[in-house]
Amino acid sequence: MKKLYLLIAFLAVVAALLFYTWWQASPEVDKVKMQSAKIADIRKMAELCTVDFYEDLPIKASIGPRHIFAKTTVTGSISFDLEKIDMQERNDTLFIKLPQEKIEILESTAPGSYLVYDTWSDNFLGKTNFTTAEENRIKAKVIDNFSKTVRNRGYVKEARTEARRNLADMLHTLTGNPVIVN
Amino acid sequence: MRLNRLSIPVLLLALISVLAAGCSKEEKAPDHSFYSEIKSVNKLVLAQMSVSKMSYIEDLKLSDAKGLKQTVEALGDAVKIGSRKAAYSYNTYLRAYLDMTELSPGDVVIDEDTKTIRLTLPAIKVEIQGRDPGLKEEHYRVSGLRSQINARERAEIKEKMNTAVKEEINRNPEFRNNLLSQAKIKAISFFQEIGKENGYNIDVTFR
Repeated sequence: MKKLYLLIAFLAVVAALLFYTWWQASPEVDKVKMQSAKIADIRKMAELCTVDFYEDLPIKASIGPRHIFAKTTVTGSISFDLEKIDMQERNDTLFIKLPQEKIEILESTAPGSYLVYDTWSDNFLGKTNFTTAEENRIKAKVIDNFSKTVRNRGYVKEARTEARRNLADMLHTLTGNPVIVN
Repeated sequence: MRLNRLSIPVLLLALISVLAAGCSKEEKAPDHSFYSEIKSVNKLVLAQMSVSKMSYIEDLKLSDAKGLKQTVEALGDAVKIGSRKAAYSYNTYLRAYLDMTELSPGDVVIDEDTKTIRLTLPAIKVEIQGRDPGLKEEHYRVSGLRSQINARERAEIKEKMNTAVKEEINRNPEFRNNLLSQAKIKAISFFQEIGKENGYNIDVTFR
């Protein structure tokens, strides 16, 4: 009788191991279906980009009793539209006025560029979910604050200095004339 | 050889331990450090492309299930009360640019007699600039007793879409070729315009 119980136990363990192996080998559940990527738009431009930056930004926000803590990685650049430069020639010297800089901040495409660490509510059993619109508004505000930080950190000043130098070099190489960029 | 009473359970335990050790995966601790970087560059950006990607999430149907895990999930979804469907989209941006640090004085040959400049530009490069920070919710319907799609789930969906978009861009040369052709047109017209304003005819070629 004991041998019978041991045999049953042995068979049960083997069955469990086989089931576990079968489970591990079966394809993962994925409820996300995707459409092919499509070209939405192509814009031609002539912009001199002189600074690229990359930053991890913490996101901590609240809407009512709901809170979220996440991290987004942004990538940005500071550039100048060369089609808006003011160019004048006086006595064989080119005088250039740089236009207003353009600060462009996007979310990075590196893996893990947006991670949600926690969402919680002050109320016991309260709703912790944020809608897509709420989340988009929170992210937009974080990025808007960061664009102010970009100015405060002196990135724009550095970008303008580099732009003056690079543009002067480029136009001097092309025209052979002295170039002064303001 | 006769096995004694304790041999079989001991053997079973040893077998289970060996198999469990083999199956365990060593998980890498997630990196929670915050990173910041700024660098000076000298890029003449000539064209930007927006690539849109859409995905939708819905319950798994039994007819679509493949394998044990999916079948169990599909059966679970079939007995749940209500529906759970959503569609999201966002854009990824590519830019084509000239790295002006690769332009040397030797690439510019000026002929004062004919007022012509022969300009040899470096090859135009293409890079992925970034993506929309937000997600556009194209459709959302969660009914009955189903749980809402939360921020963490949306972040996971976006991560999957991101991986798929990058693979498609790398695999399909149409994206880069379209962008490169527009960038070349712009480069030629831009430099010719500069030359015209200074009284020169610029002949543009690429390395």
